Amino acid sequence: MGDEGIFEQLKQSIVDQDEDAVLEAVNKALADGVDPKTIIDKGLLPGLNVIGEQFENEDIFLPELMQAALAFQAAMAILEPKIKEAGGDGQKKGTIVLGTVKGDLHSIGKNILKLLFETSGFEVWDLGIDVDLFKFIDKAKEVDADIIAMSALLTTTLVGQRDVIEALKDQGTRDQFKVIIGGGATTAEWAETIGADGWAGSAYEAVNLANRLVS
Amino acid sequence: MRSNTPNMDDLRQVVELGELIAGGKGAYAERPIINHHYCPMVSPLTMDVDSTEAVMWLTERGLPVYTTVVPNAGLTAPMTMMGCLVVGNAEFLAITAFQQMVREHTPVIYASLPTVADMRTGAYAPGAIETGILLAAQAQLARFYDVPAGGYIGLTNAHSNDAQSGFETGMNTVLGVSAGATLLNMGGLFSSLMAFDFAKAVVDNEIALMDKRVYRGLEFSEENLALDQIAAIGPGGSYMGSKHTKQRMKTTAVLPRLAARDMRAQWEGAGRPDIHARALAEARRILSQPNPAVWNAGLDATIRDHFAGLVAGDATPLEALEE
Repeated sequence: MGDEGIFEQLKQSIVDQDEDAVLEAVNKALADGVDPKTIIDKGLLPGLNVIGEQFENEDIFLPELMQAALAFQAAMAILEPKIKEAGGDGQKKGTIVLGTVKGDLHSIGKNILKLLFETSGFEVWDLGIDVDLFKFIDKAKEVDADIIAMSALLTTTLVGQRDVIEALKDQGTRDQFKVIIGGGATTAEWAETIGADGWAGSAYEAVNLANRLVS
Repeated sequence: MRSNTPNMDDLRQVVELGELIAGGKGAYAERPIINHHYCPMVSPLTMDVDSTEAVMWLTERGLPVYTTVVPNAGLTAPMTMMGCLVVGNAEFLAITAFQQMVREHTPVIYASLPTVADMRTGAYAPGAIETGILLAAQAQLARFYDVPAGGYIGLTNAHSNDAQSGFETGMNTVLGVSAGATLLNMGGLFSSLMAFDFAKAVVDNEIALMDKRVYRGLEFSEENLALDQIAAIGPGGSYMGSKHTKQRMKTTAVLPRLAARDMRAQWEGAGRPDIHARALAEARRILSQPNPAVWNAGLDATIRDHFAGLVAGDATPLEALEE
């Protein structure tokens, strides 16, 4: 089988951050009868690993990381329905409820994180900005989330993160969810003070943190 | 005094507080001591409901309010300096037109915090030199519109009083001020607006004195050419003892309190204090003096009566300040 060539093509198209090339390679692999799950595991994910390493080494910049992630998502839009058709589940790593806390309107970092979470195989429910504490909790219960992830950029709004944790304790549901926090105003010390399960200083670190928490 | 509030209830209370301090609604209207600030424009090209409502409420009442436009090239504006200016200028014009519709002839300030994001990570970089260049351009745009200019000039990404903090605040303020910006929200901020430091506030005071000197410029005049003096002292003479020198020695140059001007041996003898140590000593000197700006007991009681449940606050002095 000439499979190795197609996997290299899939991987390289992700490394090149070229959405058209990714889709072309995916369609070619499907036409050749390659299993969708194998396309992801042996072609696309190895490409994303290279992208991750390049980003950590500052060989590539954030817009390039984002483009690779978007190209991967475009491929998943084709592959996921086929995996489901074939009776396989999407094999989500976990479910995350994400948002920026009450009173805070900053979304850029959160949106980057959403994309990286999804690219890493998490199901993400993005509640947006200025999110009331009970919206976090109600949504987490509704979708049976593994993780509640909250962003706060302002020193005046970060208490919203503590409020969610306190409300979970009051309800006796604190143990049902892992709670992680991030954003410009936050620190590891703050996370410890409010009893969060983790803190990340960047979107990239947050993905590693989420991986650790669900593994 | 500058105020920034998250919602209408807080805003109304801040104005009530201002009226109490001023001695009534009438006195406050005559001299409104609080300047309100908002960022109603959310780049690119949108407006936030809550802060726009606050701007409208204040504008209707003729109370001082100004807004800041904050385009961030690479994230919320195009990745060119000119594109960033275009987005910011469109936003300034939008909020200005809005205010003029609410109340004609409302005074405005072209205030801004333009940045170019660090695209390696997406990091916010208000201390970058591009901020100063963009602020200079916006000051020139403000001159075109015939309104005052300024904004968050002199911020730094540095986390302590180190060389980065000095060169970022210094270079950016000089660029803005040279181009005509006169409103500088810079006092004491580190870590891209995330931390306040007493010593940095004192350093910024000194940088601001230098900026003011830049703004004053050469003061070109025939008198200042001092041709009479040059003729009178003559070749090989000294200007040290002249009346002309004595009359101008305290005003021609900035006399810094913090910048080192002594000899190296004296500095070593004093224990090699760096700028942070010298600034902290100055902050301590200022804060340990009686403060005439604190209001009297009667006004204090009036304020506490008006706002139920007012607490003393939990701002505690830094360990370094207590000694």
